[in-house]
Amino acid sequence: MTIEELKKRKTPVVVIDKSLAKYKGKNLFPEKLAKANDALKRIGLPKIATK
Amino acid sequence: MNLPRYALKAETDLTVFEFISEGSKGSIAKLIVFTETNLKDFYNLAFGDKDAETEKINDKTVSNNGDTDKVLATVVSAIFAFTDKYPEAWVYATGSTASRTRLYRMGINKYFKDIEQELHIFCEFGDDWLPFESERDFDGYAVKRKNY
Repeated sequence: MTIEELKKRKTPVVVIDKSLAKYKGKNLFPEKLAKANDALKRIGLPKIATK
Repeated sequence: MNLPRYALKAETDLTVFEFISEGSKGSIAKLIVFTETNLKDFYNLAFGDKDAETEKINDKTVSNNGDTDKVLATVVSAIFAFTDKYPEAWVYATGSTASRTRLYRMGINKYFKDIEQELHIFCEFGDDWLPFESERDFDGYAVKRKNY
C-alpha cells in the first residue's frame, strides 16, 4: 500500500498505547452514557431498511 | 475521506483513543471513549480534553483551538477504526450541550457524502430515529457500518 492510499483510507492507522488501558471500562462520561441508555429505553434501536 | 486528521493512539481493544489537538491555544490531549451501554453492541461515544495534571477528562471544555474540522475528522476516523474491529457495533453520540450536538450535525453535514457511503446514520428526534437532515437539530446520532 502506498502513502497516498494510506492517506485515503477511512480507517486510520492506530498506534497501540497500553497506557490508555487505565481508562478502559471506566464510566468517564456518566451523563452521556445515561442519555444513550435513555434513548435506547425510549425508542430502541434504529431500524435498518432491508432491500 | 482524504481529510486532515490527527494521528490516533489507542489501547489494545480500540475502545479508548487519544490524539493531540494542535492549534492556536497549543497542544491539547483529547480522549475518545467508546463505552458499552445496557444493550449489547450499542456503544456510547464521548470525547473530551484530558487534564495533563489530574488526567481527568472534561467534555464541557470549549478548547477554541482553531482546529474543529480536523478534530471532527479525527473522531470520525476513530469510529471507522472502532467499527472495523467491532463491525456489529452501533455507535451513539450526543453533545454535552445543545451547541455541541449542533456542532456534530455540522460535522456530519460537511462529510455526509463520505460518511454515508460507509455508515448507516440515524438521528434521534424526540421518540423517533429519523434520517439525517442538514438543517434540523437533533438530540443525538447513531451510526452503524454498512456491508456487515
